[in-house]
Amino acid sequence: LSSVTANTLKTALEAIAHGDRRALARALTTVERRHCGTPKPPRRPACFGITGPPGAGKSTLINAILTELRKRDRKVGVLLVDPSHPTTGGALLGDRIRMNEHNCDPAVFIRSLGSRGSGAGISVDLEAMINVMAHFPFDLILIETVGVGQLDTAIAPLVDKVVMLSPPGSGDEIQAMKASNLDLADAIVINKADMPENEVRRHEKALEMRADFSAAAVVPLFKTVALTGEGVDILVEEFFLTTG
Amino acid sequence: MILRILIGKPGLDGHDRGAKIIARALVDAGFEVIYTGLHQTPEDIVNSAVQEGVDLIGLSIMSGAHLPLARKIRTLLDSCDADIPLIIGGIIPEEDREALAELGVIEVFTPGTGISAIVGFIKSHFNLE
Repeated sequence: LSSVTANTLKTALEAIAHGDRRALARALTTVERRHCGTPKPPRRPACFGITGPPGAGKSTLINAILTELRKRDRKVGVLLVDPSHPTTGGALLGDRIRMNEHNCDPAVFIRSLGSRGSGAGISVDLEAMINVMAHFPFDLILIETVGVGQLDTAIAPLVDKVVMLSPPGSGDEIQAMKASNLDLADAIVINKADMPENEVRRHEKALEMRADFSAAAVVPLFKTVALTGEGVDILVEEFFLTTG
Repeated sequence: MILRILIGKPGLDGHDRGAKIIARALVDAGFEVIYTGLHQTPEDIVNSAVQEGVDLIGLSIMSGAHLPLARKIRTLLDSCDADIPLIIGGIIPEEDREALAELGVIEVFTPGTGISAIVGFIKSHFNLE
């Protein structure tokens, strides 16, 4: 890392701390291109990792969470990670499309990232990019992982809280009892809760039994329909605004 | 360096197959594509492009409104000091190319253009490979 880049980054971080969105966008590009480490700010906004399998509704849920947070006048930064092509390195960054309604809100800043070689549901430069975002006067930072599997836990050490989406139809109580990334979740969200009631109830029961068999596995359980926003106000009030 | 490209469709025309084909082809060519989809306003496109730090904006336009859309997008980009080039794919009359070029549209791709021509143009414009 050249001293020129280091100086540029230092100046940028000062501008970012004063709420300069262009400086934020540019610094994220610099950090991602040059893989520079970035100092943590003295205090950082509460950082939440949103994770779960592909198609669970992570991006749609973040869209609904943004709507609720904006009703409560919170400033929010969002980092969205999508998988990079294993050989070409290209990536279709298609999370932002779910939150287009927040494109022009000056209190929301959304940035998409390719995983760029990380195989664990995050991007290789994610930690440095969180540190850059943390200099901006956001109230919260939301980070969406790649659609993940049971062993993808790399998001946990980078954030304050992990929210795991577990949609109906993703297995019985034995599946839920397995040691997995569920064990690092601080909250579990059954999204798509408008699916047939027996499916939703069966999945809820599986997650409740998981908790019954292990005191360590007791975490709050929320039900949402991200597409309509149903249940998201409760999730925001009782989790996002009470922890951090 | 991995090039970042925003692909979006301004206006009300709902035909997005072309934009999706281009988006995926650019991924296969090794670019990161922020796909913002249908019904984007010029404000949506510029705000997204700036937040995403893209190197290039690709617009799919078949409505005939390419000149006013490109003009508005260029004005908004200028207002936030973002010198991002544009490419346009769609139904664009030959005689509009010059006016589009003055708005920072570095190339126009009309029906029948092969994927490799588009990828080749982008790579050569940014001196890749």
